[in-house]
Amino acid sequence: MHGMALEQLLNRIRDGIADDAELERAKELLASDARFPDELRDALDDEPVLSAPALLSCLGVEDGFGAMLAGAIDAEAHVSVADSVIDALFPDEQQPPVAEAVVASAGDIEITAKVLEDLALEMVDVPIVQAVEAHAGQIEIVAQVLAKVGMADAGLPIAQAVESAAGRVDLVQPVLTALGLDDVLAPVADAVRAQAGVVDVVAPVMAAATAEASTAWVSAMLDGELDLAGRAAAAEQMRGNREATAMMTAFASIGRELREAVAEQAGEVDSIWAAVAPEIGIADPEEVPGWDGALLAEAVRAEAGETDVIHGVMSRVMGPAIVAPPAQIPEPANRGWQIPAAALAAAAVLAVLVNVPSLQGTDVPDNVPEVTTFASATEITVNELSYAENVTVQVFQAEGEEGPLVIWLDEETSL
Amino acid sequence: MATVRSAASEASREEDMEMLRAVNGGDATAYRGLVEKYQQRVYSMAYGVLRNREDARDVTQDAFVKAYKNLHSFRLESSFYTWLYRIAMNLAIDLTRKRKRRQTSSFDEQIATRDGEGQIAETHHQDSPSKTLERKQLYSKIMDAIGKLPEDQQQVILLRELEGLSYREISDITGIPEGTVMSRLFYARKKLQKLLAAER
Repeated sequence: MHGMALEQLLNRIRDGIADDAELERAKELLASDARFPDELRDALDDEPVLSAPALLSCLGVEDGFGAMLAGAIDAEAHVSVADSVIDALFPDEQQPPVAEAVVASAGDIEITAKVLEDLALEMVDVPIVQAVEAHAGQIEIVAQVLAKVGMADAGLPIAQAVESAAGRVDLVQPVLTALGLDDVLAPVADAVRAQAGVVDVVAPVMAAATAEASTAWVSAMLDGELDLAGRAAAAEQMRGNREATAMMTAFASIGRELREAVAEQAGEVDSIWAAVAPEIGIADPEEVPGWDGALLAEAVRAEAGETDVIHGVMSRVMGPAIVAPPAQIPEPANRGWQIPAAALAAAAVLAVLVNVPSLQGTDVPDNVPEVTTFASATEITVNELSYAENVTVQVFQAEGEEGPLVIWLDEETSL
Repeated sequence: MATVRSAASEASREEDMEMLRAVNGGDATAYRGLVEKYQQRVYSMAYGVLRNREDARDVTQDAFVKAYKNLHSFRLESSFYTWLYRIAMNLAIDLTRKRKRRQTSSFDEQIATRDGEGQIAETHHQDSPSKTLERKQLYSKIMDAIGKLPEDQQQVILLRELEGLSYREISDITGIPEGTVMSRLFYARKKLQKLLAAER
């Protein structure tokens, strides 16, 4: 046992297989190991199973704290450097695909309260700091990004800009602050910060920038946003490129399904105006400015005055005869024809016009000629036509304006 | 085709301008025409971001009210609907952020709360034909996937796919260069493809 190194003992403690003697030996070694700050000397006194992995992390043992913490960090503790890096690297947005690749791969990075939940707050404070440091630490993005884009030795203004904008991101301090432990544990944080690890977020960023961005034209082609030269180049690349074809098909499907999904799930909305109107000072959403029935009627009366509409109406009813009466009214061929007898006459004419057999042979008054001749429409003038309220007036005219005109009065019909 | 579309677009824009002139001339009720013209589109957009009918409706109303109250800052030579969408999108994103801060309930719990409206009950109707059910499940997955995109990617893909806006118009609304619109849209689609592939 005495031959065991502290790392081995801590591994056994973490795995729950160390006996009391091994635990005591680990405490002895911890108390004198120069690699640890003084604040950690008694870390194994309480909850040794939880403290051991943190101590292992502090010694640089990979994933000493276990997959749980790694998962928590990966899932929730984002690294908020992408925007800074992009701003520094691409100040004029000259290479937006690369910039977008950075965003897509790195995303927004921040330490959230959710991290703390996932880190299991029952753990002692020091291991939390240690663990965060082990998995996140201070993130040195700049050098890696510059190296990947071939500017590692640049010493160029752009490198300085990157350094200034992005710098080093300290993930330890936000966690401590969120825990309310920043004052208490400042020395510890400093100690672990001194052994800063490095999280490589650049590799996926640059992979995305080089590989994925090379197919970004597929998306633009789908949207019809390529210019003539771009379309020609895209068509050339598309030819025989199954991957690009499949990608475009997939993108198109996603778009269609997205539209369908929103239409299906959102449904239709109406009556927004009813809610908006009162908010913008319209008490009655249905109000139509200037619409007032009484006022309108009054205005119409004032404008119209009194007008004789009979001529107008009758000209529509009877054709041109009333509009332009002949200078000399011709003698009607059937002088005996009178308005009061119109009903009988109309019945007779109708019978002639439609050739109703049932009328033949019926009783006909003696004073009605057997063969009736009617005036054409242009040969008569009706100056006035009066009838009771419950009478229907029908006007017949056969075949054009020259045909006979029949006025039918039906006293049985109520309007 | 492009000519027809652009002519229609120009006519639509002129129609907007007429209504806006009437509003600016003191006829507030003329604003109704703009509300009725764009309410469904703004609502769908808001729903895409929020994935909640009530919230989307609230945002739609607020967007129209806010647009009206800020008409003095709108330049008539600009496009009203891109301006309106920018307002709506910002309101929707603000609401999303507030939601995240609240963290009072899970997405599923929110759905359960809305169940009283009958919306979700319909989605989970056991008697639906299997194809309908499959389709609804797919739609749910798509909306979930949209929710997993970063805000800026959500914004561009919704503007493009729901509204069919050009990169220039999206650029006007979001305030990012057209080149960035292109690449952001590409990554949004790639990510959606990946998310949906994992679900299928």
